[in-house]
Amino acid sequence: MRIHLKDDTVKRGSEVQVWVELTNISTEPIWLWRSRTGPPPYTIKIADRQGRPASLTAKGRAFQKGKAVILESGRIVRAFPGSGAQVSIVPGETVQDSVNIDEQFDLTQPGTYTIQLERVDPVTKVRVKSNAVTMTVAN
Amino acid sequence: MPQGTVVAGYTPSTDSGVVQHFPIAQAGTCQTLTEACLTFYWVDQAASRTITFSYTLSSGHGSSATVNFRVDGPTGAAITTTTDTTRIVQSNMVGRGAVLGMGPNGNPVGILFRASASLPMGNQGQISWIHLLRTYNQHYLDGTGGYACGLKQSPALDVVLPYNSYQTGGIPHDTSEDSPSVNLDLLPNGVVGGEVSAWFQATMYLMWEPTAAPACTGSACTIQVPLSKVDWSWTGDAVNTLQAQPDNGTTWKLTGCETSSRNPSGSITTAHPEWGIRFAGELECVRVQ
Repeated sequence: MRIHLKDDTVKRGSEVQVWVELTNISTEPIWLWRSRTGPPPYTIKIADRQGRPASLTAKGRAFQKGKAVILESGRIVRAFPGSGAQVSIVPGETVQDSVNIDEQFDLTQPGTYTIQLERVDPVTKVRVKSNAVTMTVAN
Repeated sequence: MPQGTVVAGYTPSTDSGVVQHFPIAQAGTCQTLTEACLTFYWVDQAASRTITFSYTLSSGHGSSATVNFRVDGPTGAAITTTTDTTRIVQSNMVGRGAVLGMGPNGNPVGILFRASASLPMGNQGQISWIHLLRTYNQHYLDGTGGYACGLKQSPALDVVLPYNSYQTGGIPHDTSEDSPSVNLDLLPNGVVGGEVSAWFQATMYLMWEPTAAPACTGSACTIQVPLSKVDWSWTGDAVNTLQAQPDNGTTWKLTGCETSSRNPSGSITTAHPEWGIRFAGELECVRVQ
């Protein structure tokens, strides 16, 4: 799994989209879920230059725990229905996916951030890590 | 006024899609009689159309001119669909638990949309899809009441414009799909989902936009026009029995209240899709007793 950014430098508050390349390095075809809405199949790790994890938004706290609703004062205030598609990847093939991270993380502080994604291989159950990329949030 | 449909403009974005009706009574739009220009979008298709332009001066004198057009466009445009049943499955994403959905794991897909059309020779243009949600509701019920979740406003654009598509037939972007679902085991700790139901009504539009004439520059040369649409709906209702269900490997079972569309048929439309908000994957919820 390799990732790259649509834009290496973004203005704070703007959309941050991570492009994901998923390659089947096994000898058998596999199916992978590409979500359009609902919790994405990725665990996202973002840290600033000092290695401190970026703050999660309420949506990010829910999604990174695999939850589909947000609670406030013990009550459900928002729900995230799922939709997406299963994509078949033959051995050696690479498919594209993407995930918006600005809605899950508070990236309003200017600075440099390191981003890395993880997802579980549905066949082997191995937790697969992507490469790490660097992004600058400018004023 | 020519036959067919005449519109002043249609420039959809993710936030809104609104047809501007002709004429716009505002100087600078090329749609008022005080301007030396006239701009409108003519949505029509015919082997021969006769347009006559005439005027009468205040003196009583006038004149007219006539021209014949052959207006090409896609013919035989249609949408066919294939739907899956509503089921409960154990998600194949590790740690995601039970999922209630129409094509809940995406294979087969919940609903597959296929477009067919004969595109005009010489100007094939491009087809695309627009998916609007007319209603979208989710209810979580437990022993003391529950939560009702819904759209802020409708109709709402379903996340992206144009809607995701790919090619399976002879035309680029001729296929699209949706697999709506609800994660049943993803409620936060302390919130027991005794019953979860979801239902929505949606309309998928098949659009076409001709390639602009080479002499036309700028972004206002063509607009996309609707060819066909299909209304469809999904419902799902599941209760947590707290006991393993042999047919799906979860503790959830369907209540039997599922009345989703079965292979709905498309119909020809000339009405542009309109919306005032984008559904970004999020429903607002209120507590109900």
